[in-house]
Amino acid sequence: MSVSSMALAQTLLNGALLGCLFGSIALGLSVKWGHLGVADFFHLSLTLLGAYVTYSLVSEQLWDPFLTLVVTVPAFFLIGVGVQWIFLALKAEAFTALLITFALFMVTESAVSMIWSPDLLNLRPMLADSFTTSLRLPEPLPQLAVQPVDLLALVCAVVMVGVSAFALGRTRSGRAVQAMRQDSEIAQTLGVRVVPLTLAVSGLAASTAAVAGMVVALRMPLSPSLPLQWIGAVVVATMLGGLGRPVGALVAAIVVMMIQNAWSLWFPPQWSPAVAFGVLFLFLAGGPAIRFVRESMTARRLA
Amino acid sequence: MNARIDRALAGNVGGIVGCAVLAIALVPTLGSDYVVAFGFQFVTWIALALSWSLFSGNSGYASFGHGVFFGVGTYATAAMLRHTDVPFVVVLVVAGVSAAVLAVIVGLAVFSSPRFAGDLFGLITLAMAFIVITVVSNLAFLDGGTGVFVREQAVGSWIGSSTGNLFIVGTLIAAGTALVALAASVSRWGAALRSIRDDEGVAESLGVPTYRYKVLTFAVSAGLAGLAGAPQAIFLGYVEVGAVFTLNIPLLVIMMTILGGITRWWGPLVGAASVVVVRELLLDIGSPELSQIILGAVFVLVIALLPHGISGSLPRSLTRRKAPATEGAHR
Amino acid sequence: MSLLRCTGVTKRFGGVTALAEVDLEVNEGEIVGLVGPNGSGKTTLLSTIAGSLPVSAGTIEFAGRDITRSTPHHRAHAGISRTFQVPRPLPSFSVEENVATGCMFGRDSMGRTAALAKARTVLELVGLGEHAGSEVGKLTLHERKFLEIARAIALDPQLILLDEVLGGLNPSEAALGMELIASLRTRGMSVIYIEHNVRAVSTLADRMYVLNQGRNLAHGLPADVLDDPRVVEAYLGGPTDA
Repeated sequence: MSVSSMALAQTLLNGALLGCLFGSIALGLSVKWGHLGVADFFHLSLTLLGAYVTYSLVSEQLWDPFLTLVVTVPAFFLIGVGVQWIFLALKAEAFTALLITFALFMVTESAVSMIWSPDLLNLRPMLADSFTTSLRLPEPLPQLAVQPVDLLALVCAVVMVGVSAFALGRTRSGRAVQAMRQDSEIAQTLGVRVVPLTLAVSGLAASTAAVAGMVVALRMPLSPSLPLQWIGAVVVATMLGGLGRPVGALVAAIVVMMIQNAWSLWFPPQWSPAVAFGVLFLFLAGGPAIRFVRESMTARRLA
Repeated sequence: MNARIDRALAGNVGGIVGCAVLAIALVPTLGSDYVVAFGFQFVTWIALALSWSLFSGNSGYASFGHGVFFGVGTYATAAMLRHTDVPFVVVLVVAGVSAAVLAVIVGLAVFSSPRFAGDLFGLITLAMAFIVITVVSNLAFLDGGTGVFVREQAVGSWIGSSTGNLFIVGTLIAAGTALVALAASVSRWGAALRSIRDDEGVAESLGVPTYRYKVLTFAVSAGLAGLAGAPQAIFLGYVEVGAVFTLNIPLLVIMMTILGGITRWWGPLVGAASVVVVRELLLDIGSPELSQIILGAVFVLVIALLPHGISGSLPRSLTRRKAPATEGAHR
Repeated sequence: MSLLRCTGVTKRFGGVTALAEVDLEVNEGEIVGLVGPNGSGKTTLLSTIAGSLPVSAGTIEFAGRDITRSTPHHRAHAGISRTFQVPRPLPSFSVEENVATGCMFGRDSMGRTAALAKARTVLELVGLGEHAGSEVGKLTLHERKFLEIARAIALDPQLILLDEVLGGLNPSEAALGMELIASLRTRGMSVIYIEHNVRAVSTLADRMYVLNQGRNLAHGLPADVLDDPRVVEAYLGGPTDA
């Protein structure tokens, strides 16, 4: 099957923009997993919840989609703090925390299905045309089109990932978070207030789910089982990008989604859900191989 | 001491066999259709919880893939019934072996490097679920995305003739799984697995071939789940990817085991029984979503309040009186 | 007759070289002391011999066979057992089950019941007989250190690797420990014995090796090694009985 270069370009562009959305979701997971040691499935549920809340506020209260963030961001911050507080209160080990987030994941799916309905809900018909009319790219690529929502996803991803990366790498609190990850006891003796910092990181990570959820509501029809479809891409992006690295997660999400979209051009698209995990397995298997090569090369240089 | 362990062990074996014989003799003949169907699900969950705990509970490698092995057994059975005419015993063997082979393949890869322990092992087994789902729904031989009607294929055979016969098969599988779990708890095998859970480096230094034990036990655990999946295919009548590979299965199995506790071999059995009964009671609410929410909330509470599960929270004196064999074997 | 021979053993972690071409030999029935300043690579060398760390270069032969690439449990079966500097008892096992695990999977593998019986005799030997049924969490430091030794003995090894088993013990406990180590030879075991306290080693060891910055610095009879000016210098010229 031959594929025109324009079709390929459009597919890759769509994949990259969808990757931005998944990157925004992966951001919170990556930060919580890498810096707090919690592989938080519940983060995906929060994103879904954010999407549904946005849907209700926009479709029933006729709010502007952006205005919803005023409600969802602080609310989710509190939820994030609360969940982390539970982990701290239980002195939960990594696996216990994983199980709890998994249970919350299932609970949220059912709760959303009860509150809103198990059927597809679509916000797009209710949006202003400026949200839904696709835009042509300027010269020299006028054949390519983008959705305004996808541009929004791009902007949100870049802003959130950029701020997170800056905060982690350049600010005093960010360096405290890094120190905490190395050794929380030493960090404590150095004057890092571990508990408030942990709660704050968890709260901020949850807040990003509110933003990502808004984009989701504008971008796709909602159903309670959406997080199950996201798990693959998001978890793979988190791990490929390196745990706790916001930029890595975003780049990995973009790459994975581009590969997945390109795959469906040449191969049966129903196989594409397995593509993300295929990439992950190649990466995991490749890791030791790369290390082996690198070590044998250093050995030769030293010899 | 030796004689005491042997006597207690014999008591446990007798208890398992006795319960199974009683159940097989009484439930299908005396029970109503509802009781038999409930009984079938009951023994299936017991087999799943005990087989999950056999590997994951003992070794500490928590697998989210148990539903996959169960589902592989179910789909292997559906495919065998659809495409062949072999007796059900052969189908059963194929179901168990298919799941075990998948576990060996995954296990050989995953256990080869210490970096795939902990969270990562859980995620890899979860990833396995997504890949298997994709494969099954794209191979026409297995499913092809339309689902498979099994009931018609089984009509006329002994196994397809009544739910009572399914119950008998399920009970035999559950009893077999319990015997395997018991064997592990009193043998070198169990000691090896628990030493892996405690400290894998120390286990190796004490001469425990950890890699071999992990791969083989993962395969045995998966094979037992695959066996349990075989009668399930006929019980369901119509198998479909979304229902067979639902993530509820590993979640419930983990919940059962944590609730029951892993410090005694019969912990998962107690946990499975409690969860199945609670789920049945929740059915009366009439809202599957609400019962799922309650179940999830109970799960979180259990983790918070009973970190060692029911069996691990009983005072030692009580467990000694109730289960001298396990106590004797552990002390 | 040579039991263990390490030749040119090198271990690199990324860019850091922890061991550089270390040679070491242990004869049958010998107690070999291994000393050196902190960070000189003693424990790393022990781990490469036990197999928990793969070497970057060099060979390790045991009882005439090349075991450089063997897994730790193969080496345990071949007759090498070890202790850990910071005791690592299996926390969910009782004291006797800890030792019994070594009996079950060591050189002659045995069933559970036989292993528990043998474990009790080993525990008597190291003086932990009364703690056989205890939880390991209840043991004192000195009892944990002796449990490490008991567990290593339980494998019925030809060579036993002791990593600072007397560190942190009071003088009377340490004296008991030294007696125990000396008795291992009469039970047919060779010993590599790491200790920070050079005096303790020199009274027990037939020969001593000194490592410094991951390299062989000196080896020979304890008296000769202690007089070696390079050794004195490596210990910052200070008194060696620190």
